[in-house]
Amino acid sequence: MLGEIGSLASIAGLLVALLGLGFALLQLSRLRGETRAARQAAEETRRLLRRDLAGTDLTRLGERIQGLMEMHRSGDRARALDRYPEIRRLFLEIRRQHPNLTAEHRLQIQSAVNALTNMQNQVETLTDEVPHEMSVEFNKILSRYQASLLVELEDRLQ
Amino acid sequence: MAEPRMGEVARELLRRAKAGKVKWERTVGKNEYQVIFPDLALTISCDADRKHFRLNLVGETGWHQETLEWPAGESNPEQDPGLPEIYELAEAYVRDGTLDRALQYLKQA
Repeated sequence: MLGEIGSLASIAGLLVALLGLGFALLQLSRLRGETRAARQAAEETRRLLRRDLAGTDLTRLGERIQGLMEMHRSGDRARALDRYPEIRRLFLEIRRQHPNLTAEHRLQIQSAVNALTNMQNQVETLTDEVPHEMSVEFNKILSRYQASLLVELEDRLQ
Repeated sequence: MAEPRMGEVARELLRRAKAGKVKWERTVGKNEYQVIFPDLALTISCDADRKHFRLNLVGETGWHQETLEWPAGESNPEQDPGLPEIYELAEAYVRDGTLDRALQYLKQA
């Protein structure tokens, strides 16, 4: 009699243990799902943040280029000389912060940086205001950056 | 020590330019062409009467880091790095590239 009770108790114990194990596995699975969802949410937040930062950087870059074009038009040599390094730094910053840029975009950014240094060197040697012909030539190049490079970067980074 | 290394760069650039493997583009500067790499560039330029040539290594921020000039102060013809030839190849690449594109557009139209 006692033996039978013992056997029943053992079986009941085993069932309880199995139920406990099942419950634990279920909880573990839920926890993994939640962790994955949290990780995905964090990645999405990071992606959105990067996109917003890229958008802000590109907007600022576009505004600075527009400003430089106006300085060229008005022949404002002194202010233009302050603006070249700033635009160059913004281009380099974008390239550094976004490793997902294509090789072609990296080359185009390097080309823009070189062009800005070249413009700066030419304006630096002037004794007077920026001449009209130079302003037209430089602004043609800057317009190209606005119309193509910045737009392409925006598409790529957004 | 920079000049011998720049000579080496010039010779390699000439070799690749002759093979048509260099994508030249015009710069903002007068009589100047460049080839761009991801974080640096090489520019080749000459003066108005095409007597003096200059190859520049331009760093990431756009400033010249190394320069090779020809004819050099103490030029030795045996050490000619081929700068005039590089310049002509760059000039032809840009000119022909524009003409080729114009022809291509016309044929497509």
